[in-house]
Amino acid sequence: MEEKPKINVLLLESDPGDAEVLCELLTAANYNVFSASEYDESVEIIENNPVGVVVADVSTGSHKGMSAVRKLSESFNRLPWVVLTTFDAQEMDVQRLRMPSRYLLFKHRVNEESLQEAIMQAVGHRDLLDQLEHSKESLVASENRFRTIIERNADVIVIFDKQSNIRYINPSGKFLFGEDGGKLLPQIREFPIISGQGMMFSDEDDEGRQRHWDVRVVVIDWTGELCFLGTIRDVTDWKNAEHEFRKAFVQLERSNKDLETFAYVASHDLQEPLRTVSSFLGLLQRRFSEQLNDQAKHYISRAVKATLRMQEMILSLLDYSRLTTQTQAFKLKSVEEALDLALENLEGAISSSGAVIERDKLPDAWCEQNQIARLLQNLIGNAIKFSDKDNPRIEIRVSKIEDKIYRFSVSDNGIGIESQFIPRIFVVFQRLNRENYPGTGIGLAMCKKIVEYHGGRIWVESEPGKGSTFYFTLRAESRKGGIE
Amino acid sequence: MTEEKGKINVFMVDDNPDDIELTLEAFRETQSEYGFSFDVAQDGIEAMDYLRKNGDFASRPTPDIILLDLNMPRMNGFEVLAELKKDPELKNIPVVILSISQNPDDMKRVNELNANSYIVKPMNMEDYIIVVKKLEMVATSCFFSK
Repeated sequence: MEEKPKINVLLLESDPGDAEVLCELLTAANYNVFSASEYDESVEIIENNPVGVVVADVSTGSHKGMSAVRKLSESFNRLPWVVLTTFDAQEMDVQRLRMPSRYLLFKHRVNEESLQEAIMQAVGHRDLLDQLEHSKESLVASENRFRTIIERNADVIVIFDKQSNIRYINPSGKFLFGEDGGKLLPQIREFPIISGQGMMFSDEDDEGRQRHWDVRVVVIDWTGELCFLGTIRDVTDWKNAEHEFRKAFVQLERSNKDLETFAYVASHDLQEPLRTVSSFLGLLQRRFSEQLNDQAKHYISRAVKATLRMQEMILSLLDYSRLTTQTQAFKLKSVEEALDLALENLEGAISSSGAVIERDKLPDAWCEQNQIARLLQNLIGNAIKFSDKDNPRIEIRVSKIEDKIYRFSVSDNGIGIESQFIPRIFVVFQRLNRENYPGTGIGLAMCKKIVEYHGGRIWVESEPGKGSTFYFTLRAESRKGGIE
Repeated sequence: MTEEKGKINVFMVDDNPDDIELTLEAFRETQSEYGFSFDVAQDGIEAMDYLRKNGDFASRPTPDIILLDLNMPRMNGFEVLAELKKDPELKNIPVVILSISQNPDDMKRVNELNANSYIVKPMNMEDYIIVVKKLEMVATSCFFSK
């Protein structure tokens, strides 16, 4: 059998003879016995030993025994008690004692078994009480935890019924909407009453500042009644940030538009004096040719060339600024067709350079086809210009790099670009090789603008002496998905 | 200058003195067999006064061709054109719009107002002379129908 630890018993018995008998019985029943004959002695024992149960005799009739038990039970009422009595009247007295766990035993019935039974009952009752107390404590602790979650929540938690009466509002709610949540009442009628639904609403705080709220509602059973639990969150900062963002976005859009308009008007107006300059120079050449010496004629022809060049630049700037102001809607369109168009426009350059064009079959993409034709024309035109002079070769390739994104590439076998110049090549009027290659310096800037307008990316990889590959990405479908 | 038979009477409405001078020079360059007179107004109101021979303009000739700029102060080219083409006395004079605008909207609007032609101002003297030769053809073709 399993060895149980011995229970310490305090025996309070003022009659030495009885004490001896009881002590023997208890020892035989396998208890550790501490004997005491009066109060002070008992207290000393309890304070110095882990006493598990008190067996006290109140039967001696002496007031001393009863008063010692009363005093002791008041000080140590958590202990289990076995009280030995002789008659019913004493039982009444014992009933008045504050002993939650006690067992009464008539003294004349005391024997080893009944004593053991009494002790077990008292101790068992005490254990039960302890357990009950413990579970009560953990229930309280658990409720406290939940209460903390609700009451310390920064969000407002409100419970309202079908008539929109507020049944509960947490401290955040009281702080933000008044002690009874009264400031919420005009809004609460508008709250959704379907689980999971939400809405936003706005009001003003006491100082008249506008506040924005987001509320989510769930249906709950509130002690047997159908009610609604709303969680209300302060989204003022978020809303204000959103507003600021929108404002900045609109401003940016406007300033971009302004810039385009400006570029258009400016380049348009720039043409005017240029026309005058070049026309008067022409008149000078025609009228005074005989009076001018070669030096003068040379100067005039230099000036005429400069005006022609500036005209070209202005026209390409006009093109560049018109790019996004005069545009068709995006559709799912064939890039293959755009390439055909680009190559058709480049026919002269291709045949005079003798360039070999290698091309993949190109897919449909979400784009403005004319712009993509323009993009390809600029890239391929560029590739022809910078290709190997003896053996020009241009490759147009495509691959799918993400689920809905194509990467197109145009490669040449030409002079390449040194890496330090790469960041500059997409900038308007940046030209790397002014002497040997003609151009206005707007072609690649235009490419960048077209690609970015399509929400794509453009970049170049190049090795000097070996050639360059320009890459750009286009979407396989609209941003929203589908083909509209 | 008085109205002489066999001479092209050109009337140019433009606020840009450079363009006026260049156009005049281009006419001189063509050395047309007809010879020409060249009158100018610098805005639409002055142009209408000229065409209706008001006040000081009483003795001016009826033009064989009107060269009309679009962008002008006081009364612009569109307004002049609309006014002209409503006037039974004036509506048969050929009007050539001579503008720097390449805006398709402008061209469309001018066409709706029954301009006889639209020419973008040339970028250099060579082109100018070609344009003026065409203008002379327009003007002289009206000659024979007179």
